[in-house]
Amino acid sequence: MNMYKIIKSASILLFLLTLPINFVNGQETDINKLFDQEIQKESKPSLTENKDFTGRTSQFQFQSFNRNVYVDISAAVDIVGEWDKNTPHNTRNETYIRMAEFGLFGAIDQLATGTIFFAAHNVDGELLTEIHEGYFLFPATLIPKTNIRLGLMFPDVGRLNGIHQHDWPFTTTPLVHNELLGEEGLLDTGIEFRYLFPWTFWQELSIGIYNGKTFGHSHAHGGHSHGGHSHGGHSHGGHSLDNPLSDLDKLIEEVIIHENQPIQNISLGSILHYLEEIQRCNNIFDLSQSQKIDCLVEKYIEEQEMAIEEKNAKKTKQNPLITAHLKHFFPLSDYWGTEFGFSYLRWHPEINPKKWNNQYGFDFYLKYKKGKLKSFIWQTEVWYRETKERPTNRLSYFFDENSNLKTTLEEYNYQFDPPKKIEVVETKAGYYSFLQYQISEQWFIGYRYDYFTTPTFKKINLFTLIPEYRKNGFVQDNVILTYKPSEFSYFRGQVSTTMDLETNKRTWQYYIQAVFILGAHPAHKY
Amino acid sequence: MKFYKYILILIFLITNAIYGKIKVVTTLKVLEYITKEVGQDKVEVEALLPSDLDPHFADARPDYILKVNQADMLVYIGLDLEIGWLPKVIEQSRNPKVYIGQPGNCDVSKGIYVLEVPDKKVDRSMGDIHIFGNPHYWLDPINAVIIARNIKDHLSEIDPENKIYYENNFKNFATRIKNLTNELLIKYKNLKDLKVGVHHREFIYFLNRFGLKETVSLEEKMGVPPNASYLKKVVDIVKKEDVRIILIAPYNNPKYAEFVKNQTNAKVVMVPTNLDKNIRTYEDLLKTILQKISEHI
Repeated sequence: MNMYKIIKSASILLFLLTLPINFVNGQETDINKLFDQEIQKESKPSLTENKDFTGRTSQFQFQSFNRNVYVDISAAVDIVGEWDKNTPHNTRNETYIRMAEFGLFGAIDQLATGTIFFAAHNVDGELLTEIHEGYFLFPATLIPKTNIRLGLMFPDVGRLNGIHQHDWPFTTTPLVHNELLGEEGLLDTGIEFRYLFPWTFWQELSIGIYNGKTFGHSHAHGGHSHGGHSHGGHSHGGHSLDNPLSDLDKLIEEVIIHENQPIQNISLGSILHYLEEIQRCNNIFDLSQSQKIDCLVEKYIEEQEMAIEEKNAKKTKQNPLITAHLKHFFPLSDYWGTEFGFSYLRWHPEINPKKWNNQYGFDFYLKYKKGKLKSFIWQTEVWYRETKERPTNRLSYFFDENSNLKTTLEEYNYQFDPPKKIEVVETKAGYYSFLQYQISEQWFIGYRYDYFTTPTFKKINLFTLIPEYRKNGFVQDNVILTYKPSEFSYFRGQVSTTMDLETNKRTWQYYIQAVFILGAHPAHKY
Repeated sequence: MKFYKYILILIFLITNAIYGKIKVVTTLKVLEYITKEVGQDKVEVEALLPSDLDPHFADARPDYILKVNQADMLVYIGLDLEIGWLPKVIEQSRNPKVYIGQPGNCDVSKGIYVLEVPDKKVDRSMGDIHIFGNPHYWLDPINAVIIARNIKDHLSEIDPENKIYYENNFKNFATRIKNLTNELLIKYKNLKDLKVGVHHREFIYFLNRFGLKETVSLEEKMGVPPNASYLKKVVDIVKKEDVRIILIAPYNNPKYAEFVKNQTNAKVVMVPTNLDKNIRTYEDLLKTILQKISEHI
């Protein structure tokens, strides 16, 4: 009996001692079984197998009758508030939805993907809807190493133009961009080829051919383009031909509102331009306020007639816009990299085929990024435009379709002093430089310096009546603070101060911005 | 004359040795290693992302585009881990070999035992969630074998002549990982049921495999930095549950874990999630993580 008890106790003790080993061995057996199963297993379908061929994973796909239509959707809303205390105001002094965008994109077939963006823009309080972009993308399926885009798009020129405005790292459009590409950027319909060179470093060449009937893309109307920075009707570059009178409505309005003030104290570059234009009213400063307004209104009507002419011209303008962009990238380390490029654009700003614009750009981008915690960017673009003209048959040029003599001041000058050879009749130039530093996981601080001038800008000396060069243009400093709670929204404040180099008048503008993004995950474009 | 012939043959052999290899680009270094193990001398592999970069938050850098442009095969984690930048890289690569559906596009999540697949309606109010499930699966050694199997399948499709070669390499790798896992399970059996906190839920696969318990995450919502009131809750949980370790990855913001550490007895342990210049193999990666945890308990 004792023996039995001893054996029983020994057995229990042995069992208890070996329990941990058995446990580990048991786990080992399970693990081995799992490993062996996976080693032997043939491939099986996974959750991620069905995706469109360009590599986009569709987060939200429409399921209908068990068919997956492979469409990604995205939407973005850009709310902006802007204020100033200037006279006249050079912001809207209100909060509004600057843009609401809705996009669909996905694979069309084995050759191409399709992208369509609808956008509603606020124009004088009304949201006007348009197709913002709509294009095929052939990702090297037609020509090796070449992506082809066909349709309505923001052409690949410069740095900012290819990025939708709500994705920009600042609220307002840089002055040079506003003047030489358009408030939102250059937008046109055509075809673009992007070729990636087979080098050991990244170099890409984009060449595009577009309609060229309009240039730029702006929804600003009535002086909304940040402080009346354009020189009125000096040229049509940088503005859509749909709105050639961009600042004049506002100007007239301001003159009427501030009737008791001497007109020369409204020191906008644009008003001086119009004063110059109406110099035929001798000794303008001796005129009464109502006479000055009459003169301006008269000029306004004249400009409106010109605008109608321009619109008609647009219908018949045949020469395309040609763009080219050569870009390079060099990695400086795993986290630092620099990209720079050279852009060229050529188009005819008017129906006159003897007059054309050449525009040259340089873009530079230096970036440091380490995950979501640390980042720094330095972004700069320099743009220069020259308008050239060659001699033409004067008679055909001076008479319109209805055989009426054209009567603008510019054309009279032209008649008396026609160009003998190809010459540069106007130049415009400017740049911006932007620095942004990530101060913490969700906060970014930035500074942007803007400069824009028209080197060929001349004003008629009221005493000698001879056109003379006058210092002109604008310098702007902007400080920007951004809070990004996630990748899908941000809130931003911007303070801008603008110096009018012609009048030496400094103005201040204040902006707030809130943007949200719905749908597909936004791309981390470099 | 013979001399020139030999020179030509030599040039041909060298060129063939260099250019005869399958060029593979991977997103993570860990995938680079596994691809090398499967492809051995038949492949030339390069990873896009550096070791300490959060794969969620990379950019579509042009040099990545160039590398993918010149690749025969692209290997990536999938499950939307690289959603922010890889689709753009593929689109801009202008390389039809790596487009989805092609043998050169290797999404290694195929067949993975995915954890935390949402089983109810989800949206972005819950943070930057992954609708296909948690994509940080490579730290589970069984998933490493599945990754290797996927790579082997794609290599075999691209280069069918060497199918058996890849099959054998895969089996060798899988057996090695199996044995190592068994060893590590025994060696670190004391870690079983150890309660740990994490910053982001990227260790869940690893913890599950080695029997550790994830008790609390410093992120209330995926990818969103915690606020003060949530951190207070975390402190309470850490104290109540006697959480001894808070695991963070090199790319996590350490200040939240430090805050919790200062309020409790927990230790902050930064562990790698990827290979680097000191951790050159997948096996070393597993060993290092376990060793670091073990040193701090």
